[in-house]
Amino acid sequence: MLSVEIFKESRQISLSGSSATEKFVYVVCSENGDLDEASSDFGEFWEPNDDIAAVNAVLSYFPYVRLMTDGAGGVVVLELDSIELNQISDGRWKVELNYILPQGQLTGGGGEYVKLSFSTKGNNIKITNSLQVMSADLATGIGLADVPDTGNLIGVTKDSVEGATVQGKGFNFEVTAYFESTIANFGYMNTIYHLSPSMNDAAMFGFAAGELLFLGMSGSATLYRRVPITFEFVASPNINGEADPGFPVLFALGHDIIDYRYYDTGDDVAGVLVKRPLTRYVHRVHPLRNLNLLGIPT
Amino acid sequence: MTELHHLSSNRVDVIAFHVLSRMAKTTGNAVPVSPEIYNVLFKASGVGIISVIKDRKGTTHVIRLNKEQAMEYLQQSRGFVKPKDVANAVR
Repeated sequence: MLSVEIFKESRQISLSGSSATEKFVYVVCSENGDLDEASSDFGEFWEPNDDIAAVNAVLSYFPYVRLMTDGAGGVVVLELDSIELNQISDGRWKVELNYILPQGQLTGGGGEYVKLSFSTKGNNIKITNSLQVMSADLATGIGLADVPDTGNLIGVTKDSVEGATVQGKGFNFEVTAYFESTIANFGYMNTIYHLSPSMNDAAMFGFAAGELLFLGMSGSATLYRRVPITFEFVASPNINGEADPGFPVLFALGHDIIDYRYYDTGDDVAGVLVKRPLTRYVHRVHPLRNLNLLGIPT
Repeated sequence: MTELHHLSSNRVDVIAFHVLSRMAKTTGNAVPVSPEIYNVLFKASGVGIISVIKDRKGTTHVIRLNKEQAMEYLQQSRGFVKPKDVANAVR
């Protein structure tokens, strides 16, 4: 297998309050003695004057990312910015690799990868309707002809429908994207502030408009370092034409609130007053916003 | 060589993100990493080493890793996904 052999190496480091650079200088040749024309490697690459092969070999054999101290107990990541090759004899090259802090290499959003964490553990929610009444029994000795028909209402009292607190379906997730530190300016943070909380006005991460609720972001930026910013979302499915007995089919976005008002009516069979839905309101409590302004790579 | 075992998980995430992003842009089946990055990200990872480049004194300068295994390991160990796959991952 072709490889390289390092004769010499030297390093030059430059640190300042606003930048960090590191230069590596190598004198390299092919493995097993490139100057020996009898070597099986000679002429395969590092061939005299074979510039393209030399550059390709350097790009293939030397790291494009380095670590450097930030002078405060942490590290910064330096990326390969430029290379310089000088042929000093046949098959032997002086290679200079310059690493710099990666500023301005990304525009707009983050990079090509993000980090994701999610939970399907729901929160407690209050409901006033059940999916189905499984059984209803009348206490003996009451004198009613039948069980009062309360529909699917839960917690019906003489004056109100109190509902019940149950475990709701939930889907929370966080997306962490990595940004140039320059994105963490007050203009961007102001944008995020105005977007929190809001629903997506267009499809995002595979969710239809209205299904995602952006809760907010958190991050800690330091100049000249790429910073992770975490965006928090809650997903809830839209209701698209669901049957709702007594009302027109229901349409609501995932984070709308559906509210019923009730009235008293007589149950002729049971001979008592019961509650019945009178009106249905779909409240929008979060605005629809362009969540592409978050800058998360999609 | 200075050991960097004190780095926070968040910091290692950032380093892994850099390395992964650059790996994705390279061709070939091997990726060269410095010994420092190898120790921070890949030590005891099980990622295959294709070759090690040392000088004549035996000092290691570059470790060339199996690119496919290295990328897969970083994505899984640090929880990275491509943004376009987020929808599939969360739905």
